[in-house]
Amino acid sequence: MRSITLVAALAAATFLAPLGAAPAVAAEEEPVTWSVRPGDASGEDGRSWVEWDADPGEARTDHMVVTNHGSTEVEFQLSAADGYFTDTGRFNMLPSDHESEDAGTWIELPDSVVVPPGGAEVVPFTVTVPDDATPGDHPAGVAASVLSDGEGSIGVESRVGFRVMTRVEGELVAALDASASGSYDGELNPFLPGGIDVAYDIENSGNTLLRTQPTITVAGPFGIGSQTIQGAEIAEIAPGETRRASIRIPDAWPLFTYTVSVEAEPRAVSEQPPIGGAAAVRTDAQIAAVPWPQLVVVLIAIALLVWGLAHRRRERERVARLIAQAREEALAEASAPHPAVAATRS
Amino acid sequence: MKKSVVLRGSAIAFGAALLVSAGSAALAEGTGAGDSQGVDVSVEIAPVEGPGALAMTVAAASTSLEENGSTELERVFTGSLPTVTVTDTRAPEDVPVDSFWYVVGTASDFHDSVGGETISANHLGWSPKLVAGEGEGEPFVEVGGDVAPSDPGLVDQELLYLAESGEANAGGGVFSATADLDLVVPADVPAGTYTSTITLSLFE
Repeated sequence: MRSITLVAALAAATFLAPLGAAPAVAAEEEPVTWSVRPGDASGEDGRSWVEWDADPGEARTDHMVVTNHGSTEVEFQLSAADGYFTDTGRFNMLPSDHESEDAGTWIELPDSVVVPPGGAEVVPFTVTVPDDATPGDHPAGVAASVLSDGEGSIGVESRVGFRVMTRVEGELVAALDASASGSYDGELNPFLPGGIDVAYDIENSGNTLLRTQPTITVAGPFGIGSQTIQGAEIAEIAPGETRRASIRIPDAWPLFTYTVSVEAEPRAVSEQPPIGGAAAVRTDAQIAAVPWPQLVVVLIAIALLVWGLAHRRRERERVARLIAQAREEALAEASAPHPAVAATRS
Repeated sequence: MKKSVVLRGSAIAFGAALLVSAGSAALAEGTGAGDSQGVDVSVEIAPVEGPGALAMTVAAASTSLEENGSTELERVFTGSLPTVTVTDTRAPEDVPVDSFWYVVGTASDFHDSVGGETISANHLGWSPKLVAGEGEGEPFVEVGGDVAPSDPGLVDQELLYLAESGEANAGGGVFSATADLDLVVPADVPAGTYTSTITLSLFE
């Protein structure tokens, strides 16, 4: 009863525009509205997704509730696939043209389900963990999808689903790997500091789902000009995944060399028990930051100084030479006998 | 005499250059630090009856790309994604803290089943936008950034998502988004009828 009022409210909310149009608008073009939730045999049970701990070889039956909020009967395609996290940390599952290799293949469910308008179907599915499953987190997802009719050049497969996260018991390892590189981006103006562009990769090298907040530190020789910046938080990173990020550290003076360090501490994703012995990973990279504009300024200043000194010395020499010359001339003039005197004497 | 003029001129020019660059540095510092002011947003959220649902609505139509704006160097095809609507009628207290929903899109490679040719999906880009009147201006919901029709292209890109904040979990929202699609390929691409599939996924 409750669900019917909900469906009515949803239908009213989403189909206001189509209802206003003429009813002749073809039924096949009717938009489809649906939701998919985990549940038990009797319907939704309030979970957002499925999360369970399993031993190798263990199996579990769970349920997905596919609700059709539309006004026509719809056949939904059902699928299960390996789950992963996108570069922005969103969970997604492989599209249907990709073959699953891990937990996606552990899930068995019907190919499709037909749901009457305004109704809901509970679809049981089983997750069977293989005997040789490796310990750790194995993300997967299940979804009910609608495929667009095949007329246009771009088909649209729309999926609504939820995660099925299986943690296989065994030796759990929370570990991250980091690598970093950087380059100094100097300013032409010698009175402006440059910046350091740091690119780094964080890889989940353990076997559990992790989150982390990388810290990036740059420091010149002897720790001069040390700066620490928080990188973007990595909300969820599955085993084997790598996140690439870059960050710019502003206001860094060219100190000939910088040490760039990236540090990341593996943390458990909420609600998971923390894993002991999870050490932070730290990586260093050395980058050059030669103060070219400042060196040029200093060189020009030195050149001008040297030129000025040389000029002064030359000038002094010239004056001295002129004085000497004048004195010589004067002396010569003084010592030379007067022509008139000479004439009278002889 | 002449030399000293040149020398003095050089020294003055050098000093002036230093002053100008120091001045402009100070100026840049003054204007460069213009950080944007945060805007307080307050919202009143009405209670919602019943458990509610997080549902997606799609028009059951595919889409086509039309040639539009090709040049001698590249061929450009544009189209638009059918409208996608996410309706969240769950009561705020029924939504777990820190949870958020999103719609991500991934395109498959374009394939010509007759000629056997393939155009990589990274030639396809999109520019998501909210549909006017439905969610536009809502503080909770955002559309993903534009994706250029070049590597990596339309792979795991957000179309529509709820901002990641606890307050944004409020129910009762209807949010629609569409996207302009653009395919840019080199001019020498083999002719054919290519098809691709965009997978849109709503997860939480």
